[in-house]
Amino acid sequence: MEEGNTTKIPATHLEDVPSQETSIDPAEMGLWQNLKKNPKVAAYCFALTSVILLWGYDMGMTSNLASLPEFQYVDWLRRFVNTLLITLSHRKVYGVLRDDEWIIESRWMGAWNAGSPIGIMLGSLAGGVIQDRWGRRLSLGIGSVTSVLGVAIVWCSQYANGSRHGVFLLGKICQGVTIGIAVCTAQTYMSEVLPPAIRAPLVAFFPVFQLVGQLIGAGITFSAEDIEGADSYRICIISEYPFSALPILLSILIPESPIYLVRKGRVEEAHKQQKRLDRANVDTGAKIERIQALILHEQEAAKSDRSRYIDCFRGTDRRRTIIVLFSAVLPQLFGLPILGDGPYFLQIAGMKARHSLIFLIAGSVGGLLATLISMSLFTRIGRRRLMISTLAPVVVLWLAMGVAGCFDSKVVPW
Amino acid sequence: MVSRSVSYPVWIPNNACRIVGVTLNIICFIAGLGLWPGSYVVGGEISSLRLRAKSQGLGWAVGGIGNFVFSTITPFIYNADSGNLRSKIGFVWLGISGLTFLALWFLVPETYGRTPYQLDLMFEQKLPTRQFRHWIADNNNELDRIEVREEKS
Repeated sequence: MEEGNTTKIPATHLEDVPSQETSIDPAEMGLWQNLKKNPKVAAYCFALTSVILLWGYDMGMTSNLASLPEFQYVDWLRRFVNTLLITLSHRKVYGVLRDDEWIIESRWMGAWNAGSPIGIMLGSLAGGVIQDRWGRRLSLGIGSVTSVLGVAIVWCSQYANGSRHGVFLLGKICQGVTIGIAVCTAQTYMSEVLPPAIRAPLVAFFPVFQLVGQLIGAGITFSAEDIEGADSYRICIISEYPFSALPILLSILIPESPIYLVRKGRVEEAHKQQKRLDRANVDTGAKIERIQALILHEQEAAKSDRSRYIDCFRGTDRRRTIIVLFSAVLPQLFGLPILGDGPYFLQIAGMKARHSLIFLIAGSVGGLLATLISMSLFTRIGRRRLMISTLAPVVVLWLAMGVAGCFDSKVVPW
Repeated sequence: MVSRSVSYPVWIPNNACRIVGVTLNIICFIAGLGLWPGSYVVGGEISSLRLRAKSQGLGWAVGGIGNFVFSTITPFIYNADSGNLRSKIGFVWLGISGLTFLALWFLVPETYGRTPYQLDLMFEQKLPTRQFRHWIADNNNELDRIEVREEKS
């Protein structure tokens, strides 16, 4: 389907999407019913969202690793002699002595926090290319391998006496690349394979697992706090391995996305994979035909089959891409970074470390519950409506918090 | 989440902290109900199938940039050795989320219950955002009329 075919041929296409995707209102059936109609797809995709666990775990881990006492000590005396406390110490291993307190400097914290997103950026761009070239499954596999690499680098960073911060940063970036590739692939796969009725609820699992991952990360660091010696942070680093292993396993087990296969012209295989996704008595042939028809339509509409990055900004797709980009930054915009830094915040305000972690856990559990509830909400209420009606209260709450902050300096009991 | 000890003595009544903590948690909960998962859902549904993988790549990349920008800036805003805004940071986010609200209002259409083909059509017709909800699928169009061979249960 190369360029040159400029006429649109309308009517010989079939309805584009697999059987359950007609204009039937998904709310007619309710979440459970919908899931039961598509058990295999749901199961595969549910497993896939666990990849997000890795992401959450990594996020929770870095932030909390810095709070470990043991992470701070080692060899501070030796370094103290070298006036470059700044580059060489660790909040114990990575921190710096300032006014009798061990802290990790802003710039390294900033750098480490930035390392992950940078990695995610690189990873997702790479992932976009890999997915289209070699398939969604291989993309997932590659992502998992980089994860193993990343954890290994972070592990080695504790031995790199001259440049611990730097190597740690490298490891973080590598982890970020993994997350970029894996999560991007997971979302593509799920959005292609899932019928709309259950697509939203399952994709809504993304934040769920992110939170669960963070909780597990927080939980492990919390308990590692009591362990003396270097083992405390070592355990945390090693514990990332199981989370990396999971995507590797998945990349082997899940069926390849039929939409990808059809686009590559491998219709036979598409048929087989689609069969793996459907229940036994569904007409797979019809589905494949519909996919073919839809892809044909899109190719004709765009006058080419090329899907390079630059094509995302041409014509009709430009608007769509902008919306996608906006929704990607949306979590950042409503304050997710602040929520994550909550405990730190509270500690600055004077709360004890233990208490602030409790707030973190409570907040994560709350978010978790909310996301689970949202799964059902998405089946009934539209996206736009739901998002707008949740954003409005959030805006008000931020106002409330800002106002509360104005009373901060007064010593007034509330 | 860095649990650093503040290097200068500061005393804030515990209640104020608790209020901040609770507010943060409430925000997290409400956002979790719709806004947060919604961003992933919408991100996955809006692009055309052809460009799906690339759009995801771009989306996450830009998300990564956003993450990077915010992660780097926020410590400097509320940290002890820099801006020291503390809870007044709520105003900053008030502004940001207010703008976000506007953007959401004008940009994000309703994709609920729509098949990819319908979405393709709606975008091709350059339908205004708020019209997406009310667009009636053209039932005389052959593309929508093929019978779906339902499974026998």
